[in-house]
Amino acid sequence: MQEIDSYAGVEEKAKRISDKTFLYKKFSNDRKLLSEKLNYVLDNIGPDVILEDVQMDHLGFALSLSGKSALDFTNLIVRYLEGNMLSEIVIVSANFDKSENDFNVRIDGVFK
Amino acid sequence: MKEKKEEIINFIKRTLSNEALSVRIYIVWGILTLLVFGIFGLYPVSKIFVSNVKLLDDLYTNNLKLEKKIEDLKSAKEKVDIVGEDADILDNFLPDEFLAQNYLVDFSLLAGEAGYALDGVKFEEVEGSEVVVSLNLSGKGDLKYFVKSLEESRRLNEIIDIKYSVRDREDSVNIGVKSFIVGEK
Repeated sequence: MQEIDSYAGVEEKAKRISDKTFLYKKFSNDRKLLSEKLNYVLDNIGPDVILEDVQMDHLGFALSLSGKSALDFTNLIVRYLEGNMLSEIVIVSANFDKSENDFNVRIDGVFK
Repeated sequence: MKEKKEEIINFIKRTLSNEALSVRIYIVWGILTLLVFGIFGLYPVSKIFVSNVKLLDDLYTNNLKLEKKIEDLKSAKEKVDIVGEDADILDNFLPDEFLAQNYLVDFSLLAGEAGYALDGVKFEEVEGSEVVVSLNLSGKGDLKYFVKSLEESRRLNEIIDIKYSVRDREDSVNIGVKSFIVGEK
């Protein structure tokens, strides 16, 4: 009886640690990570285009960009498509500011 | 009365003196004795004995189980002792309940390391094992580093969405974060 008493609470503590470890692993494995997608979106922008605004979640992203040449935006879209991470990319709007000689472009992308 | 008694005794004596008849009586008596004290008596005694044997077997089995349990507990205790204070660290990374101040300190430190100032934190209601937190940051920091730091934090976080606006002096960042706790089962 004394031998059993010396292990009082051990089983409960071991079970609690085991359950929590299992739960920690489960949450860690089940959660979706966004950093890779963010890196993909931002790293592809490059120096020729200026980023003004980004909105993104696990499904897709929306970018507001400005740049001096329409070709830079074309190259950006090509880079995005070459990356094989997007299923869809759409130019939502493109405006040319004649006074500033600047293109303002809004692009939406959908992740695979 | 005495005469009647003697008459009965004499009748019994006469009857038993007849060997053929007395043998039959002894046989019947013997069979009755065997039935009453032998078979009918043996059954309950045997039943009690068998149940005791079963009890003994149960005790033996339980004793074996108890010994195994003690061995398991001994092994568990060794493992728990090895884990030691790491269990407290696990409690810190995956708390049983949501304590806003701990998260506030964490987010503030991570924002500072990434070059942002934490302007605002909004904690939504705890739902099961999830807590949604909305972070507002400003500054010319490193967004990619901040997001990576949040995701690599030992306290489990999942980024829900990001709104990032580039300004001349200070960029504005709004991030929705889902953090995990043990919560209600």
